[in-house]
Amino acid sequence: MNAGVALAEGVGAVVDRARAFAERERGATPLFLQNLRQLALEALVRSGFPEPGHEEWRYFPVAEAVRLLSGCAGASGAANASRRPGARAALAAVAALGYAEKRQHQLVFVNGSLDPELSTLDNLPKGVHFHGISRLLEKGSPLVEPRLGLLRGHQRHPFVALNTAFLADGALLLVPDRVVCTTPLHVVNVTDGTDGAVATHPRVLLVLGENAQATVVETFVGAGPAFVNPVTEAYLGPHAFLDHYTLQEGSAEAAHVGTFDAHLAPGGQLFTHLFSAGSLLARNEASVHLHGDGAGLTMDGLYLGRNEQVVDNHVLVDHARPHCGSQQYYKGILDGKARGAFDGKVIVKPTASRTDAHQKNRNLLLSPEATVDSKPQLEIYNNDVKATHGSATGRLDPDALFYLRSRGFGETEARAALTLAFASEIAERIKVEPLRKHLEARVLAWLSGNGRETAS
Amino acid sequence: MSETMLQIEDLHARIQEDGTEILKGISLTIRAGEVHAIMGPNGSGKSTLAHVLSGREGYEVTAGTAFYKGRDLLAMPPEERAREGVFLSFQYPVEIPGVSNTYFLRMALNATRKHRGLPEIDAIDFLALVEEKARLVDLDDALLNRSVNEGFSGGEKKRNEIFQMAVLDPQLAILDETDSGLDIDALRIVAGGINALRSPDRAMLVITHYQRLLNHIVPDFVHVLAGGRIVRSGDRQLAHLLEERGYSWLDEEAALPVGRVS
Ligand SMILES: Nc1ncnc2c1ncn2[C@@H]1O[C@H](COP(=O)(O)OP(=O)(O)OP(=O)(O)O)[C@@H](O)[C@H]1O
Ligand SMILES: [Mg+2]
Repeated sequence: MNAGVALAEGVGAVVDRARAFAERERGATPLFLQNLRQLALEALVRSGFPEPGHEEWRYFPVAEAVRLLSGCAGASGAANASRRPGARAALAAVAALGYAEKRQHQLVFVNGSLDPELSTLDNLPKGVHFHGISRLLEKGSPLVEPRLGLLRGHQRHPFVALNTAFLADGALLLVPDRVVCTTPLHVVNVTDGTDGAVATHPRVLLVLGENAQATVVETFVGAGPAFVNPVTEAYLGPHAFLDHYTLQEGSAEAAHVGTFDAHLAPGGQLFTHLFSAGSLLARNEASVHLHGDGAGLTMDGLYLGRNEQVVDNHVLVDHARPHCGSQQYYKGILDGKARGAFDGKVIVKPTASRTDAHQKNRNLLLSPEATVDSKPQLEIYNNDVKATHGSATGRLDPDALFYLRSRGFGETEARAALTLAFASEIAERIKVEPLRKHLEARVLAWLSGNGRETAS
Repeated sequence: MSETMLQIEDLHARIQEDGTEILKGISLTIRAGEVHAIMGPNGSGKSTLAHVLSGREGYEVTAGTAFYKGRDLLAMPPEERAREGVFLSFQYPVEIPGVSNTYFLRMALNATRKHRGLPEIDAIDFLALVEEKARLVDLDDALLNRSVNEGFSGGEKKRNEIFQMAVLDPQLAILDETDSGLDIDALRIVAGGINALRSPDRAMLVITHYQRLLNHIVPDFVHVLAGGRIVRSGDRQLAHLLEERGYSWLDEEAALPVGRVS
């Protein structure tokens, strides 16, 4: 079956499924959500899934991912999902993360549905909303209606449309003006495909008021085959500060197509951290719209790939107002036959004078068969701009390897030490200490399971 | 007679990439407690010898042998040589961003200890050891927590090499131009550190261009390496002679390879 046919059949099957889902749910669905799902579905029917060679999807095997999707049951709301063995294993892994201890604020979704027993929401600061949205979606609520889908991703982006067509549950964070959340807020997604492949479409809506502050950590873990299609929308009010983490550690049999969309008001500050190590096929997409004067953005990324993994990082930064700053620093480590990509575009619109934009991508190839495509791009339509971009791809420095070995490091240890050093530049920038430790431990674990002899 | 630490016989080595022969038959015997100096013009093969002895890739030994305490040195991977007690102080120490100096040293020390059947060093003992040895070469504490050699001045890098040597406590130390890049005071301090490590059961091979270093570290033997061969060996007076007259007079003597002088 060629890719085009696979894609067309995939869309057909998925659209039928979405229609059936919408029909089934119609009784329990307020009008705004019916409309939203309908619009998304129409957009998806119009656009289809991206064909091979599509400019924005060059580095991602869409057809392969859609094939995985076609093989999935509509998993939304599987009862008792968290009691199943695969999910339990994945949850144990979450518990072992350490950073997601009970006393913290955390929402745990198992196969797309909130598991209240596993979630803890004690002692949230006054006025802060942090909870699941299924009830709000059923009843309609002024907390979600005005914002959900406001960035219109479902009109532009086939996988955001897909997510929206199946929208049924997710997480909401609403931080009122001037309120500071001091402890991180966790959203954990567990996808268990061990009893049959599942598709999930998690949704997160983050709304920060003026001068509000929050740290949000979205974690993805799982077992078995799955198609995980999360969408996060973030709205930062004037001078709001959001520190956002995505830890993608999905199952080795899963496809992960994630989209993060953010809108910044004047003075808004956003720091995103991406850590992508899991899933067979991973697409980590982030679009940030700097639509207020003086907004600031820092995006860090660390992506690891081995064996046959594909990890495609797609970034768009939209400078639309003056005095905004943005910097991206993405680093990738690829072993085995893994393929990586950094496709990042910074657009500086005519209205965005005194922009300061920097883009950097570095990649480390650990095996002769690993590859990476690095495409940092600047599109500048204003003269009053300071912008740089750069990309470098290399291998471990043989002089450094010898230096370490001449001091007694074994070859594997020496390679691990240098690889960890490469990664630590990104890990060190994580402000939440348990998270930083977790990440360093994850990189180490990845490395120890990743001697050249084990990479197939 | 004391134990033979290093016995090199008729060692030939070439650059793997282009096949250029650099070492053209080197023979040298070093016993425990001895300090041997190697001098010689630029490009004569001094660093190549040091690299071949420590197992750097990129060279091919085409003939000859090198035994370390009776074991075939050339058959061991570099880390095993290090763990067995061979230490190379690099002419150009390598910068390793992101790996802290102390972490690096603790890993290195523990690798050697493990090899010798010793447990990992206790954190407090390690700290004490590091402090003591840093003092020996007057190494700035701040350098300990920085990445290995990253942004170190030339002199700081050389101090760091000798500091590492002091911590790792090798039995055969090969010091490749440890004096170059050091100012006069630093030279005195570093040489003092090296001298402190002289002992009846340790041997040193000191590569240098300058008699100056040998005033501090008085060698038992001096060898001249030229064109990939040891063209002359002698006692410390040879170093003075070289300082005065350069290397050219050796050519005029139609020098033949000279073996061990003892
Ligand atoms: N890896 C290599 N690739 C190519 N040429 C090499 C390599 N290593 C050494 N050489 C060459 O071998 C010769 C000897 O070099 P070596 O570094 O051993 O000299 P040296 O005696 O240490 O010189 P110096 O006093 O300048 O340090 C030089 O001509 C050098 O260019
Ligand atoms: Mg040299």
